[in-house]
Order: sequence, then structure tokens, then C-alpha cells
Amino acid sequence: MMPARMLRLALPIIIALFLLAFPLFASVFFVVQIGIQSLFLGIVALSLVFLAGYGGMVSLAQVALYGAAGYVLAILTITYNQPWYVGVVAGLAGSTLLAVIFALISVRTQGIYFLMITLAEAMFVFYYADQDRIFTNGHTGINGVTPPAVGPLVLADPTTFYYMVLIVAVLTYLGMRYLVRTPFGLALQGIRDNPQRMQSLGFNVPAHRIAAFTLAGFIAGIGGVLGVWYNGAISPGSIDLTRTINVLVIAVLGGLSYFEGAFVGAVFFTLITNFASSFTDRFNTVIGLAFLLVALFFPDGLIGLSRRIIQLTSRTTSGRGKGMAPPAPSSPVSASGDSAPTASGAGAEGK
Amino acid sequence: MKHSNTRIVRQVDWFRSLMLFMGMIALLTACGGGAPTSGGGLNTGSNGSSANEIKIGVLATFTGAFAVDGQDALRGVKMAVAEFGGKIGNKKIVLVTESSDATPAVARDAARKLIEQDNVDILVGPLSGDEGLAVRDYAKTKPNKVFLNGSSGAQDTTLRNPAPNFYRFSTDGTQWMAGLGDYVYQTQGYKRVAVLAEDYSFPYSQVGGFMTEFCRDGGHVVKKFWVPIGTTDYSSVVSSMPTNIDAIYVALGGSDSINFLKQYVQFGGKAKIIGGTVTVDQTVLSTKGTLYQHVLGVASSGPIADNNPDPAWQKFVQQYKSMFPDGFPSPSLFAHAYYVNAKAALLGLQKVNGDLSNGEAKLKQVLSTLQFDTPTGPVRLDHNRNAIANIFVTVVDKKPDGTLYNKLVKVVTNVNQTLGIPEDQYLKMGPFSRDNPSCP
Amino acid sequence: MREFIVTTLNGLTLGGLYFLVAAGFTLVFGLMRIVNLAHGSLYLSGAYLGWSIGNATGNWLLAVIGAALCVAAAGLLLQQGLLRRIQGQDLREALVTIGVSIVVADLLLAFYGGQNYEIAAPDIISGGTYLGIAGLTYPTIRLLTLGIALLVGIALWFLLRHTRLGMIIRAGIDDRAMVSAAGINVQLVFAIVFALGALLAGLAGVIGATNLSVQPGDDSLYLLYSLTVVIIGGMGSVGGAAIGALLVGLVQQYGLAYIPTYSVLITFAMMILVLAIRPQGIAGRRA
Repeated sequence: MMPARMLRLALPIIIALFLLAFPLFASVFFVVQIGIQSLFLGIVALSLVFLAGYGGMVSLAQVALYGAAGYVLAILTITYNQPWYVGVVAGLAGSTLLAVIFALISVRTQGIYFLMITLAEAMFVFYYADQDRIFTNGHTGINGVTPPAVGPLVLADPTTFYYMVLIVAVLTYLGMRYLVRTPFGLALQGIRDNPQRMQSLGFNVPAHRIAAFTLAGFIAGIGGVLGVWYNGAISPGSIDLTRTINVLVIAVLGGLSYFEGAFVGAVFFTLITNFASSFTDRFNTVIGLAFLLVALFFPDGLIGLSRRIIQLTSRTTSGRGKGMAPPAPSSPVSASGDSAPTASGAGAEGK
Repeated sequence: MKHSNTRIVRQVDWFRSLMLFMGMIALLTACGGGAPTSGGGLNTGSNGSSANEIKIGVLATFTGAFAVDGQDALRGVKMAVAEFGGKIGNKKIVLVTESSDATPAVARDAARKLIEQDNVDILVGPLSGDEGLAVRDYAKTKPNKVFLNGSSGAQDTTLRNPAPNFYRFSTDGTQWMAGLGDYVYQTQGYKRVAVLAEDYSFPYSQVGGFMTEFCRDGGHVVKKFWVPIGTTDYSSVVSSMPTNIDAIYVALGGSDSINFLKQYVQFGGKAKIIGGTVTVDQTVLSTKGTLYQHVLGVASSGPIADNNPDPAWQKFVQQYKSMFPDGFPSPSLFAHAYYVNAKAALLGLQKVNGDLSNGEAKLKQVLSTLQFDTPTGPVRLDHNRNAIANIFVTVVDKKPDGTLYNKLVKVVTNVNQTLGIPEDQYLKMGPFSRDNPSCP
Repeated sequence: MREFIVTTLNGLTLGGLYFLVAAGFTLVFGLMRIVNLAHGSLYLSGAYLGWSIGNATGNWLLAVIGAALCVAAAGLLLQQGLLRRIQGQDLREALVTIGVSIVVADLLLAFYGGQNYEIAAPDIISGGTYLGIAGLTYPTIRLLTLGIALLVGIALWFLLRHTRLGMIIRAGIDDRAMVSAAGINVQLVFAIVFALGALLAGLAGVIGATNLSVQPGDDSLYLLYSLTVVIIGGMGSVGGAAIGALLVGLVQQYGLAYIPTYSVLITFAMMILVLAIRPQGIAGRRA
């Protein structure tokens, strides 16, 4: 009991120390290509987890919204020579605005239709970026976007950039965790579970959904700003169907209803794509199979998987967990009737 | 309370999974300094250049739809290395490969992995145009390493905002069109032409290069069709093609050009075809199917010609065939470009006897003034470190055994990036785009 | 005027190809509520298999039939082996099919390589047919595609309207639980319908490769086309798929002929518009 509680208190400190100290013991390559990339991809995946796990809306438009922010930033700072803060503010505004438009179009659809309409919207943005000469510079995209120097902080330096991205990621993560406990967040989860009942209780269901989608667009936009600075450029290749599916893969691998899953999935994905090619040319098959396995057998992703392991092996927590109602997020992927041979019973599984 | 209990349960699970994760990361990071380095079977396993080896990173598209091009590119590099017996002085040449997927972002990541994680001394690549711009930008952040081009052919990589440590011993997409405009106007007699190309930078540079000569000679380009990349159905383009033209200049890549040619013939198209460099290159000519009767006689130009009688080229082809019996019937322009650039790197290394100290300063100096003979003639660099070399005008012909090849009809020598036009005048023409140049 | 006629014909024949691809997709969704995002992979497999069989035997007809049957078997395997275990969970099924499509795309790339393949049509259907209108010659293979699409459409209509199986399928689209309660072996019907959908996808693949060519990436492309067609036309309605296919084919060809740059966007704009205004599509019914 005592050691468990001490562990729980020490937990955030241990993680924080690891992340803060990361650049000290890891190579620059790892800090940049694994660390920074996982963090901003995780932010984009976070927006998807929020929408899917807590709002019941699986959206394939997050990468397009990421791209919207990135493109606006790139266009303003490179083509129009505006200062970086103008670019950032406009970029975030751009992705949020686009999210509002998408939401207004999609809000009346649900489930699989929603998935498809967001896919259509994402493809629309991709093809537009690929074809347009006036703003997006077509297939080539826009190069030369460097992170600015903010006072004494030279963001172009990898270590400084890493810390900046880390802080943003942590803030976004904490913000999301806080949000889902607010009345808005709880209402959203209610809408996820039973929209008709919420409607009859007097909640404006479409308005909540639009608000959630807009917020997710804002978060994806944050990822977009960071992504453009990381890459130093943006092109349609960053927002094509492959990248769109990648974010879905990340979120599902991590666990579609856990915020931590977004980052865990991002790290896992980044590691595989960077290092699996050393072992096999067929790493896409590896990723596809991992995705399949998760979708078939571990719908709660890696986080859910470890949860199950814990429930199988630990006695302390299962004592508390037995017979409890399922925790707030429920994986939109995991099944009722999902057979789970745990002592703690079906109730502790996701819905 | 019920609520706080479930929250606690979740926190602990979260903790465990994260510990699991961080353990994994810490482990990988600890090995990160000496992580397995290469892809594609050419392996080092060691970290940092040891005193008796030189690491060359090869960046090409080894996965995805362009994998065949990437494989041929690697063959070119291997041929260059073989010429030096695999070593410079007493240092062994080690190749480390990394794949991109024709998008700039992945090319940059792959370059970064090669330079920062695998610690290569020299990087050769990338394969395609837009990737070249990304790698050049990355090269600017790593001034202590030498970057040579692979086969990427966007003009701006060296013409506008060049990087002082990026060397392109292969020619760019506009250079590849040298001689074609003159040839089709003067020799084939085409005066009125329509243009069909994909709507992005590489075709712009090809069309621009073609039209610079063609329009100057007095030719007319009456209509241009810019189709989105990935267009598969050209039937409407074919049917709205003007009828009072002599030929269509087609600058489509691989599969698009096959689709177009097939449909053009189905519709009974009458006008002749002029090909861009990749329209009838080796990868297209060796496609399986019965398309070849439709491409006989098509003129094109580029950095290589399959039946070039030059003994140096013949020797190169022989070497390619004996080293790689399962390669193409003849080396592609990817193999050639990567070969030339890799050979330049190796020649440079030989001249400085493998001295990579001081930010590879000696090597950089040597490379800027390096001139040597390639299978396609002599090559040297201009002040932007871009190649000045020969270009070949070809016409498609059929060998006795039925395979198609590009028959050489004309060699244009000393082609530079501005096609012989003074540089300031050329730059004033502006970058090639949909409407520039124009001669209706 | 001539250009307009040709463009219209182009749109019609392209629509025929799209109908072939989309018909199976819409049936599977309508009856089983499965959004088979591996549908494009089935198309691609059909195209490659058709090439292999045609290359080995030299017989185009054999390639068509053989590939279609093989892909039908593959589809059956997919449904029985994977999808049946998670029946009823829409999103999970969609995710599983995404996973399958990633794996299949990579394996096909490994096996066939990245270059372009095209299936040579037999000589009698290569070349052009003289049409009386405006004195033009039009490619025979495209007319044949339209013909096959019409045949398949009529066959499906007959199947759905005049056979017992068709009656069960239509009932199942309307109310699956009831059909099951009426004592009909719903699982068998599901298997048949999924195999049929896969068969059509494979058939479309061979025809598409004969008309044009096949290359990696076609799976995503034709999946997107199927989605577009079926959403516009209405999920679960074969007639809707026909309408949707015609619309998409015509719009694409007119777009390419008259406003090439943004022609791609128009198709997606149409799709978004339909989903926004009438989510069930032109001929679909609300789930």
C-alpha cells in the first residue's frame, strides 16, 4: 500500500526527469528524429484520441488540419515575409477555422460516415495543396522555413527546440486531461455514449461536437506549426493519404482512448519507421501487421494491453478494480463481448 | 469514492506501461550511439568512421513504387566503388544505404539519419527533384560534410541558393533537353507542337528546356496540357488535342506516359510524339506489354543514349551487365547519374588520399575543380558546382532481338545549366512555370 | 461538338469501370455494414493476377475469369478468417481492413515490383470501332468496358429482384435482425455477398489494367473512387452505384477536358456536398 502510493507520487517526477534529461544522454539524432518527431506527431495523434476516445468521432482529417496550419505559417513567413509570430497565430487560426468548416459539414454524420467524410475532406485539402500554384506552390511545396529566435532562445538549435516542443506537448496533454473532466468534457463523453439521451436532456449535441472538432483542429494545428519548423518545409507529401493513415495507426497502436497512447504510439511508430528498415525492406508489412494485431486482439492499444497484463498479474490493483464501472474513456474500437479471461471480470474492460 | 478509485487504477496502469516504454527507449538510446546503421543489406554495424574505413551514405528510393529506380541507382554506386577496388589508399569503402519515398520530408529524415546516426563521411543522393531541394537545405546545416547529388534534376538545387558543400556532377532536368528542340525543328521538321506534361516542377524544367530552343528556332507551341500528377485517364486530353499540329511533346513520367500512349493509339491519334527524358527512358522501354510498336521513332534527349558507340560507354554497359545480370538490359539514367557522382567522390578522395580532416576541407577544394572522363564524355563543374557535360539526342529504335532502345542521333557537348545563354539573361527569364516560356 | 461527344463517351465508359469497382463495395456495406477499406487491395490483386494469368496462358478471357475467381476466394478468406470474428463492430472492421490493405499493398509491391504492368487486350478488341455519330472512331476496349458494366448491372438487378437470394439480400439490407429471426442462414448469405463483392473488384481490376495499366498506389486510388461513387450514389444501392459512377466518370472527364488543374477537387467537392446535404446518398436509405 505505502510503496504503491509512493510510486504513484513519484511517477510524474520520474517521467519528467527522463524527458528533461533525454538530450543529455541521447545522441542528437535521437533527440531530433525520434524525440521531437514523436512529440509533435503525438500532439496530432492527441487530437485524434480526444475526438475518437472522448467524443466518439474517429476523424481522418487531423493531418489535413495539421497541414493547414503548416501551410499558412510557411506561406506567410516565406512568400509574404511576415514575422514568425504572425505566421504562428495565423496558422493556428487557419487550422481552427478549417476545422469549424469541416465540422459544420460533418456534424450530422456519425460513425463510419463521419470517418469517410473526414477522409474526403482530407483528400480535398491534399489535392488542393498538390495542384494550387498561387499559394501552396504545388507538388514542390514551400522550403526554407526555419524556426525563429525568440529573444535569447535560438529555436533552430536542436536541444532548445526539443525542450520547447516538450513543454508544448506536456501543456497540451495536461490541458486535454483537464478538459475531459470539465462539464464540457463530461457532456462530450455523454454524447459519445448516448447522443439521443443527451439531446433529450437538453444538451445541444451538434454544438458540442462542433466545439470538440474545432478544438481538435486547434491542437492539430499546434502539431502543424511544430512539424513545419522541424522539417524546415511543407509539401503535399506531408499530408497525403499515407501520413493521414499514419496518425490513425499511431493513435490505434497506442490506444485510441488514452491520451498517453498518442505519445506512446508515436514513439513506437517513429522507432519502427526509422530502424525497421535496417532489418527488412518489408517494414510496411510489419507496421500493417502490428496494426492488424492491435485492431483484432488488443483494441485498447499498447496502453490497454499493459493494463490487461497488470490486471492478470497484480493483486493490489485488481482488488480495487474488480467490479468497478469502466473508466471514463471507452475505446471506440474494443468490443462488448470481447472475451478477456481476467479474474477481475468483464466490467473492468473498456466498454 | 468510485470515481477516484478508477482514476487511481488508471494512473498505475499508465505508470506501468510508461515504465515499460521508457525502459525500451532508454535501452535503445543507450545503444543509440552504436545502433545498427544501414538498410538494404550493405552493413557496417560500427559507429563513426574508424581510421581505416570511409563511409559513403547512399540515399535513394529503395521502397515504394520507385524502388526499381533506386535499385539501379545503387548499382551505379557499386560500379564506381568496384573501379577503385573498394578502397582508397588503405581505407576500405563502406556503403550505407537509406531509403526515401520521393517526398522531401522523408528524404531529409533519411539524410539526417545517414549523417547524424550512421555517421557517414559523404552522402550521395537523392534520387528525385523535389527531394534534392530538401537535401540541399539540409546540407547547408552540415557544412563539414560533403554532399553529392544522386540523380535529382531540379534546376534550383544549384542554380538558385546553392549550398557550398553540395556538388552535382550529373546534369539537371533542363540540361537534359539540350539539342532536342533544335533536332525536332530542323531535322524532324516539326513546326507546330502541343505539350502534355504533369503539373509540377520537374516537367516545368523539361518543357522549359525544350521550348527555349524550339521557340528560338521559330517553332510554335499551340497548346499546353498540364495534368494533375496521378491522372490515369487521358482520353479527354487526347480528344481535345488540336488537329493542326505535327507532334505532341509528352513529358510524363513512367506509368502516366504508358497510359497516355496506350490511349492515344486507341483513339487513332495521328500526331507524332516527342519524348521528355523520362517519357521513354529505360524503365519505360522495358515495361512488359505490347506498347513498343507505338514508341518507335520517338525523339528524346537526356544524359545517356543506349547505343552510344563511344568505347567508354560500351565498356560501362558491359561492366553493368556482367556485374548485374538481373539488372536492366542497359543502365538507366539513375545508374549513370549515381555512378558519375559516386566516382567523383572517390576520385576526390583518392586525390586527397582519404584525408577528411578539418571539415573535409581538402576534399571540397578538390571537388570544385575536379574534371574527369565519364562513360558519357568529360564532366566539370560550373561556379554553382553544377555539371557541364554532354547531352544526347536519341530516337527510339528496335534491336534485332526485339528489345527497344534509344538510338543516338546527336551529341551536344559542353551543356551548362543556362543552356549556353549568359547567366544573368537566363535568370531574368524567370523560373520555368506553366506559362513561362510561351510561344503560341 | 465532336470533342463534347468524345468527352461524354469517355465519361460514360469510365463510369462503367467505376461501377464495376463500386458495385461490390456498396453491396457489402449495404448488407453487412462493413466498410471494406481493403476493397482497393482486391482491385489491385485482381489486376496483377490478371496480368500473371494472361502472361502465362496468353488468353485474355482466361485471365479475366481466373483473376476474378481468385480474388473472390481471397475475399471469402478475408471475411471468414478475420471479419467474421469481429462482426457487428463497424469501426473495428474498418480498422482491420485498413491493416489488411497496408499488408497486401506491401506484399504485392514485393512480389511484382514497382514498375508498370499493362494487360494486352486481344486483337479484336484493340483498336477502334467506327461509330455513326460525328464520324468518329472510338476505342473498342472502352466500349467493351461499358458493355461489361451494363451486363453486370443487369445481372445484379436480376439477382436482387428475381431470385430468392436477392430477396434475402434486400431484406437483409433493410432489416438484418428480422432476416435472422426468420430462420435464414445469415452467415451464408454474408459469405456469398462478400465473395461476390470481391469477385467484382477483381474483375474490375483486370479490366482497368487492360484499359489503362496497373501500378502500386492504384489500390488507394480506386478505393477512393469507390468511396466517392458509393457515397454519392447511396450506400447499399446498386442502382445508386450506377448513378454515382456515371456522375463521377462524367465529372472527371469534363473536368479534365475543360478545367484540368482543379478537376480532381471537383469530385471530392461533390462527395463532401452529398455527405453534408443528404448523407444517405442519392438512392440510399437511412441506416
